[in-house]
Amino acid sequence: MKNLNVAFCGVDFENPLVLASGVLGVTAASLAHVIELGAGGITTKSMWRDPHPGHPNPTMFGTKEYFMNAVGLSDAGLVKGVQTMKELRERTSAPIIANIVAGKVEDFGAIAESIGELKPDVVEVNISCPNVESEFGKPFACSRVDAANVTKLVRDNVGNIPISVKLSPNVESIVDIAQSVVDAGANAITAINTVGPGMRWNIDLRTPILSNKVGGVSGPAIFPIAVKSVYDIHKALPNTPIIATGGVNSGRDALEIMMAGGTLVGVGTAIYYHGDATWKKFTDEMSAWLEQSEFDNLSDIIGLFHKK
Amino acid sequence: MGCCNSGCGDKNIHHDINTEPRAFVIDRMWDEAENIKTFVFKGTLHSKPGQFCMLWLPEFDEKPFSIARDYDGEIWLTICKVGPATTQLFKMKPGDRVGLRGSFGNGFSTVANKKVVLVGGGYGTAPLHFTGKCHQDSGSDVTMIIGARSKNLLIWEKKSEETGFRTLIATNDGSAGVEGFTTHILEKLLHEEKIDLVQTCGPEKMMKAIAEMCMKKNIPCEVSVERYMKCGFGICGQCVVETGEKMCQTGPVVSAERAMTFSDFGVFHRGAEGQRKDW
Repeated sequence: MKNLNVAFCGVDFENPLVLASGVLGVTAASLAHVIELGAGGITTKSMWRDPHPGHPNPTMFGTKEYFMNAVGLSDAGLVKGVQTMKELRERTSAPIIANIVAGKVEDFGAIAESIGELKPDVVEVNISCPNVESEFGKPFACSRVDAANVTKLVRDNVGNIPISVKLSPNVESIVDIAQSVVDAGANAITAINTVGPGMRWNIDLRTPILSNKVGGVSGPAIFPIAVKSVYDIHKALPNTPIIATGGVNSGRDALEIMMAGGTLVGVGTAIYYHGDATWKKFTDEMSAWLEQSEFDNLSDIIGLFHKK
Repeated sequence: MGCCNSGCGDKNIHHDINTEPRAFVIDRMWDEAENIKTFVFKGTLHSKPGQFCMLWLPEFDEKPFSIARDYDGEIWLTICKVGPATTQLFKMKPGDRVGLRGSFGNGFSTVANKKVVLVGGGYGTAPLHFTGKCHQDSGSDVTMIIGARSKNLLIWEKKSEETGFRTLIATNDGSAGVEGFTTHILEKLLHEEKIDLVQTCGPEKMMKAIAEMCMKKNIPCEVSVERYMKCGFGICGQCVVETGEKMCQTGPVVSAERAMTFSDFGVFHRGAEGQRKDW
């Protein structure tokens, strides 16, 4: 039987599906359970240096077509983050992607250094959350200069751990931003963060549903945007591996976005639609497809659409 | 119309694919005890007993509450004032609107033609009356043990008697019923009678003692494990126990055997940022 292994920045993943940041990430027990359910790796929620309260409820809701959230990157800060990371390492040997965030460019160095000392397999740098805009202005992912400066600071402080910078689709050219962070020392790109922000109201209560009024859009509706972003980035930067994420909702979606250029596939909102069964369902679909295909290894399909 | 017409007994309910809140009007409300009120809304959440819903106070906050009744076209929520959101809710009047979504989570089993004992501690008693009504409608014999620190904190004891449940009371100070704990009454019952099922909701240390007692006697038992629930439908991960299972979906109601595999059961829970808090 063919296996689903892929290598990403020198790290072996048993399968390419990784839990996307911000989902099920509050405790080590929760993250380790996702591995038991069949994920190839997990991404922690965004870790701040200092405690960050996030937004009051409602912070998320879903429909058949899409999901919206404005959690506001709530986090108990570095002390809890370090504890969670250590406990997670004890509970699982699967690859850990540590996601970090900061409100100011200069604050990325400190969090990168502290998290780097814990030796996660990959550090993912969140410069693209649309839900903290009002607090900090535009996300850093909207500016080539800011995105590059953050990347350089993380690169200089995190040791030799591979870094992947998580980009926003809400920009004029995601390829330009990708190019600038790779030039600044990023080993990989995570694409895409949520789309928008968007807004929904309850017409009877005449109130925006999310307490933050606006929130990032994820789920099946954004999958075409994710595929195009991954396709464009891979075309421009064929040697830069991508964690492809955004609306992946089946094993076939995962295969499609890998063929567009993804090496790993981030899975988040799919858990809303498929629950704990998500991982096994998707990997079973991928295995079944691979078995009947001409490919011996799943990694052979990465960027396949560009070879036509 | 009985409660089982509204869907209780339907196992494996998760969430509807649409989790937008819907507007509901407060129809009426009354005091149950000191700082405890019941709010009534017209409509249904198609819930089974032991499940919960999210109650949204627009532009303020949204919190999870267990459902005290969902049949005959009415939803009842019995709520204790514990923080800013419930303080805000207690200021509201009939005619005011809130948002509700759910029902969510795994509820209590309903059994037919059996002898069932329900044990409620404090405001944990509220969802058990709904549970008892479903058992009763299925031909089961229901005993309700209600505990509180003192008489003025007892809830649902009159409704329990009126519904025809054998109702036994325990208060810590002896101001009503037996002086002591619900567990003392249960222990005696399990010794003297043949009980088919025990279900409990209340303080976790009480539920753990009950789970241990029932497991020792091989009596099926279900407990309601409450954890900090932020989203309510399995995405945020706030409500996981130490095995990684989400109490908003696998729970809140689980078997005693399963609860005893959670190393945090009866020991600690987690706060809003995931920090450990001992019970």
